[in-house]
Amino acid sequence: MKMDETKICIGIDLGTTNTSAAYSTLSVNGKISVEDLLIRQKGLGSQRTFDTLPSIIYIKQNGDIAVGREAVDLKDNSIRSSSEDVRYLENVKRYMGTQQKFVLDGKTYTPIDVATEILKYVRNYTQIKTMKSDYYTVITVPANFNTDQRTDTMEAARRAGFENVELYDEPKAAILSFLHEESEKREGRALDISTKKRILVIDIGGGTCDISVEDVVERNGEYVFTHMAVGRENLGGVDFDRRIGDELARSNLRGITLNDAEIASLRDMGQKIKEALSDSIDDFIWENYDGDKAALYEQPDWLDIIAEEEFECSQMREINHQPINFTMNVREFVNAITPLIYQIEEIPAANREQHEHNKNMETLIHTTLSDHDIDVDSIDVIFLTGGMAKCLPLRAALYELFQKPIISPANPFLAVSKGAALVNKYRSIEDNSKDLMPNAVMMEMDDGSLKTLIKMGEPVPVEKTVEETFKTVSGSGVAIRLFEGKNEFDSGLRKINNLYRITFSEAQFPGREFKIAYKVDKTKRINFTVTFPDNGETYHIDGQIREGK
Amino acid sequence: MEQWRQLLNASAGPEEVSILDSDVTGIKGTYSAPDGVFYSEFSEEDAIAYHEIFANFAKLYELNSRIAISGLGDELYAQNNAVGDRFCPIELILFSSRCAGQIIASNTKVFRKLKIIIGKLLNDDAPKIAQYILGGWEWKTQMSIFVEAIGNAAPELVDVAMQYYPQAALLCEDDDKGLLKSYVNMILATQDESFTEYLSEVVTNDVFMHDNEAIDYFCKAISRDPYWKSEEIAGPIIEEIEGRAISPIFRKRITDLKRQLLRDHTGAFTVYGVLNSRNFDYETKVEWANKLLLTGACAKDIYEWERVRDPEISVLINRRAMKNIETIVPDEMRGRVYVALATHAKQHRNEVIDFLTDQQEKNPRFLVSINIALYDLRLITSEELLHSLFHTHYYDFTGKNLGKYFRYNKVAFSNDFVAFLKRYLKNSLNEIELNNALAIIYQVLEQFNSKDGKLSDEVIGVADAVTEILTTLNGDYRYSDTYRSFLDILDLIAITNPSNKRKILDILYRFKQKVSENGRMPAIEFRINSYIKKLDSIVAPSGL
Repeated sequence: MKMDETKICIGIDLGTTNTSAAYSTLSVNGKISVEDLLIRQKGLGSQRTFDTLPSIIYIKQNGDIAVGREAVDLKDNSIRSSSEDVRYLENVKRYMGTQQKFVLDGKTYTPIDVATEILKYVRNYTQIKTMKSDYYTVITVPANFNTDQRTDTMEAARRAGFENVELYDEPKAAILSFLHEESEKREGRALDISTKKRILVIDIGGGTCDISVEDVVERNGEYVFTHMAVGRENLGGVDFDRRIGDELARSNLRGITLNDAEIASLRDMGQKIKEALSDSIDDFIWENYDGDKAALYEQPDWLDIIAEEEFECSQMREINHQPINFTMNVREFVNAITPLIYQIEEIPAANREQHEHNKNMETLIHTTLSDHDIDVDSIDVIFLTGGMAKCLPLRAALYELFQKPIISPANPFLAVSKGAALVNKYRSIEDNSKDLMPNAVMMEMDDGSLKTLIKMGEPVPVEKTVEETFKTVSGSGVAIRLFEGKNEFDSGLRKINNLYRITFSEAQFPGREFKIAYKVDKTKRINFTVTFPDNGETYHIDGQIREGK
Repeated sequence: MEQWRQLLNASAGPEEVSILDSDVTGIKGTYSAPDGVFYSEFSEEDAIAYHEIFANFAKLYELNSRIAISGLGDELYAQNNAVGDRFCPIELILFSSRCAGQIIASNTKVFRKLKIIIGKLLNDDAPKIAQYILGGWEWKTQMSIFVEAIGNAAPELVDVAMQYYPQAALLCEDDDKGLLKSYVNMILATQDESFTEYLSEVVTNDVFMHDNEAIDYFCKAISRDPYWKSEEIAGPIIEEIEGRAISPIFRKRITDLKRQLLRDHTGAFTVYGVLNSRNFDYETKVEWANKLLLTGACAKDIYEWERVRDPEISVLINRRAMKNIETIVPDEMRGRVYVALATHAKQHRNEVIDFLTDQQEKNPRFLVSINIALYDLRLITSEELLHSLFHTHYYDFTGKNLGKYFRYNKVAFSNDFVAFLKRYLKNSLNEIELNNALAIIYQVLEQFNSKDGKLSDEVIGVADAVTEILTTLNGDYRYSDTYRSFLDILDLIAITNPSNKRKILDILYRFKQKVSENGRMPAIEFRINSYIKKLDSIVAPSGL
């Protein structure tokens, strides 16, 4: 779909922990404006507008669903009252594209259902409600989101009532927003792109850490992006919260068994301590370095400097029917989150559980670069965005690891939605740029082999006809079973859940020859055209969401 | 950062509380299927190494299956040693084995070998690996190997495997039930009566109990397993199954099984067991031999006699059979007696030959059965035997006699019968002759299939051979009976060896084309279509 730049474009960053929205307009004199969409929410009894919506739903006893801040309040109340009745769903974006299900009071909720509720809320409690339907909606997804995850996101948008929906990669949206901010500055630009710059984009939000490498250059007033690499790990703010909560448990609790509500309470404390200590460090930087974070973290003894300030945060929680005061200082905070940043384990993980325990940003970044043959030295600048960009120890560690300048958008929480809203205003970026397939897509043949249809890193969008001629093995139809991964030997190989199949209306002789053509669109979703030359029959196959068994 | 690393590497105390493995979603997810093919993490080089082992195996198997099979184990053990404890290679072995999937599905030796290798690798990671293989995969042969390996080597994982049984049943809904039978095998292999409830859960699942062949498989497996058939174990299983809502057919089969087991339990010794034993003196054996009546309808006695190996006792029984030959009914039994006489004639060959020659003239009705005996005694050629077979009018029992004989003489089947049939059927037979031949083939095949139960390599070989023979026919016939006979045979072959499904479907599609061109046999067309529908599920395509 060619986007019309004169139309309003709504950008939605459907994040793991927070969702934000923005919209862009084009004035008659060609000026692009982008505004955050404030979301009306019930919080602590009153209704106010906020620039972010917590990506959480709370299912009330009567079955009604609270979304956002109201859900957070209800969750907090239940944690405070040590209720063991867990009625909320958060961080569900991690399960998009899977067949995970959550059951409460006999009702089943899928990740698509949760995303639908959040998007519906954004649609109903912002200015969108009053807009004419003639607008674009661009929803952002991690660059490495797979086919199923993208399909599920589109499905949630459709169920929430959005039309003209496009998906857009989060790192690209963040850069676009940043470049737009830069273009509005008369002087003091952080990044000169008059010559090509290689940017290592690190988008670390609530649930995922997306790595991408983009070559960016400005030619004749237009931005040209060349997408070089993508990588992703389920590593985000929620893991930091869990690490901090774990540290609090390890140092304060011994020999007790925690129930689900107490575990949630510890994780919640982790989040509150992370935010409080990050705020204290930020205040300290404003007071002592005029807000220049680099001036602090580029000093080798930055940790000693802030540790001297003796910042600490306390939280009182009831565990095992005992009130306990949990306290953490800056040094303990940094210690707790270090395993998520640095590669501590030297031996490669033997299985997924170990991988989950050992996951860290250092390994993720190095693996992404080496998978795409990119030399670390070729990186000019690190672009750090996402909610966790605020976390100074993270920034300091990245500087220590790569010794590259680090830039960030003014408000990392809102950069992605703003960038998404700008997508139709900078059409030239799409026209001039090609994305890369984050994974190879392979088709299973009847002898068990996997035939690669698209290689990892192949530019998309793309339309191709597979040279090879296939033949049916069954007389009833053809099942195209797809897998994705780096290649067929990848231990991260996964089966695409979407079903692609042809069912003949009546049994046909097996051994019919057919050709396969496929199309990968901008959203990196694949669809097929299967043609049978014997009678000219043609089938167009889109992936069908497979309902879990 | 170095000091932090050291701090973090310090080990945690035993009583410390950790929430690192906790869920982050609030309400816990209920779906246990994994998002990914593998639990283990391995390198590309490892994956290629295993893949090459199976790719080379498949190539070598075409040239020399025996060498290929014996080499496969060595290669896998060597590669597993190279992997060491870097990761558990179970998933990689099974995943890579898909490129030799057809061979594994049709060759019990390869299947068994892989089962043993996998069994040795079941370690602490196995419960998680089970979650990936049984909860996420759809490659049924590989899942079967894994399930059976659990039964053999790690009964403690049966609980885990059973969690995925409903999913396995759904997977087999429209297809062969091999995976579900593997669940039966898994439980039987444990020889652990505490799994009785699981066993009834497996067999009373809708998908299992509405498949007659699967029910049959279960009943035979129980009745043949010395541990499970014992009264103390089988009793509660049958009771448990009878207490559930089961199909009428299953209920009848269970009643039959109960009856059969009861009979087995009451007769502590079989006659042939005593006669073949070294623990009994000659007099006792004569006494027991006299229990074989060999008059009237004496199927059980003939069954016992066929199994007697003691040469001296054989002479005694042979003589009694020859004396009573005119009293033995029905015809099929009498036919079997002629054949049994020959197979037990070592000690008094001439006496038996004289008797048989005499009978040849007196009883043309039993000509084929007598010829089988003479063929066994090397007095006539296979050509003569088979010629008489295909020109007899007594099809109702001769095919059965021959099938029984082939069960004990596989060489005769594969060397003589198959070769003859291929030649015979290729020649321009008229449709009547073809129908006769089909009736005999059906009866021969039925003997391999019906009471023998478990699929041995030989039985699979028979099905393969007959499938081969049928693929040489063009399927252009005038009489619906001819098609009906073909379909009956295909039905038997499909049951005997599900891995032949593809070839059977090829034949069916050829018939379908001919029948639809003919346009006068709607009932046959309907049967072919429903058969295709039953066998041909939608699958992945193949390359040209």
